Amino acid sequence: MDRYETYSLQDFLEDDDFIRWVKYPDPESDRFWQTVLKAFSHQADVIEQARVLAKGLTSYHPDVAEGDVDKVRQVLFSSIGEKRKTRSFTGRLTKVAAVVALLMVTGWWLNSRRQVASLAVSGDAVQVGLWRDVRNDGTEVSLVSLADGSTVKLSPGSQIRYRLGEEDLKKREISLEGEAFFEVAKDPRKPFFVYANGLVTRVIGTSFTITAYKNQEAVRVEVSTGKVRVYSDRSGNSDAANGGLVITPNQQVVFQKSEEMFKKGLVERPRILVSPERIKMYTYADAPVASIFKALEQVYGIRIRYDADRFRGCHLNMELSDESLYEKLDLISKVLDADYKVEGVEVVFRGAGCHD
Amino acid sequence: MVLDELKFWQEIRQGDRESFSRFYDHFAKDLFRYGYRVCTDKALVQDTIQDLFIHLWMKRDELSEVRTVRFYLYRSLRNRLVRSQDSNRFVLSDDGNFSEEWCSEESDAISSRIEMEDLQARLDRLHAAVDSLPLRQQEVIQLRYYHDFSSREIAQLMDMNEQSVRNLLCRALRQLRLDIPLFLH
Repeated sequence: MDRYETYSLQDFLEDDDFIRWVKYPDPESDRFWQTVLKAFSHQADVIEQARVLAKGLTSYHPDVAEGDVDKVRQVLFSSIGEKRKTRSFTGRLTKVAAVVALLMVTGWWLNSRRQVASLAVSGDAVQVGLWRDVRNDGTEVSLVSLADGSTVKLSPGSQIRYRLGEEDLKKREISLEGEAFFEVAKDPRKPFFVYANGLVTRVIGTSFTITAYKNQEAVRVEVSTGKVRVYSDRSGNSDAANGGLVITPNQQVVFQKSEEMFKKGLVERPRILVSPERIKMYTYADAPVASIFKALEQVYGIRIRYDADRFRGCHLNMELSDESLYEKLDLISKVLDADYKVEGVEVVFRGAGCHD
Repeated sequence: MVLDELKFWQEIRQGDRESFSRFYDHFAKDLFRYGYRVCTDKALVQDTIQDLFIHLWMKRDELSEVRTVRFYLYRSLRNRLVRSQDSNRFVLSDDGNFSEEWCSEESDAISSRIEMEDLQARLDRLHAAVDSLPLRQQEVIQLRYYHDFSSREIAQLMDMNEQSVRNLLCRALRQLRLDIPLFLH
């Protein structure tokens, strides 16, 4: 007790016995501190100040809504569920085992019979809070239909974890490990984010593929339709609407995580982006090459650069419905005696041109 | 209280769901209070607490006697939140770098007495003042005065040495006394 004779306000505020008395006074501790006060009456002011301050700090904490605690309680206890339902999942991720029972009851997530076979039986889909997990341990791509109308074709050995903006969240979110093709239902009020190994992809409604295997340094995003925006998760979400890199159909971006480097280019096999009916109209007989380049730009969503003056005199026959983009480019370069090169997302033609 | 907590733990280890339910009710709200203090993403805190309890339940056979269950819960919660990449609150957290800095003794300036304010208004003012401290100081204050952890336990919780925790606490308290001298009396 003697130590209290020379205690500063700070000392009292840090003293375990003092704090305990302030917070949980009982007759015994009251008696003790009365004795201290009597013995060291010069400390009365300091002790009183310390008491008031410490007392005020004992109620310092953020507000927690009762609903938050209840909500977690409900999911928790429905997921640890009946013992017999969790029995067969020993050895797997505990979280996975814990919540399978719940999923089987609710059955919100599937509409393809094959998935039911491959996912539900192996116990690979789980719900933890707002987040739901789906794994594909099978050998075939499995289709996962999400409640917002979006679909994910999940490659073997891949998994996603998602929440779709319930509970007033302003965004739909999926994290991906592995590879998946996404077709995102349009909902401008709730943009759709995919998190994959350090890369964030933001879309509103579109389709695209992401490859992000854990053991691979690079993440690849290939766009089929619509427009997506990608950025590094280190850049934060603040600039999500404007920052990052925009990629459009037939473009891809490869993200090197360690260097925070983006490399934009064309996908390996660019697809025809117009409808099969419309592509038949792109048939050219003895047409100026400029109009064919323009058509290719429309059909594949690419940019073609060339020297318009030099190639002005070039004409050729062409049907755009057959063959791949590169076969067509090869054909054109052969006929025009020119070279082409893909630079980033552009195709660049070089040659002497035609002089007839 | 500590006895009850250990008893809960024993019963849970034997697979008693009723006990687990009481166990949750006993700890949950305070864990939320702590989680919301250290991480601004409430949904993440909710998910993490849920995962933590599911983990506890699934692993109840394997977990050894936990000497102080409470410390274990807080520590696990904090670790999980820190590990989670979404929890940028920790990244932005300041002050930690200076926690080695010694908090020197100062003579006490005894505030002059003023009219008693309404108690709640004084509390609000104090809490607002704590809210404007660096994040780690807020965390230490709450762990020390609200959650009843000792400086040593806080040090283990926050991966710091005990002296750094004392320094943080000391600086926090000194700042509070500067910010709201009129709080006292």
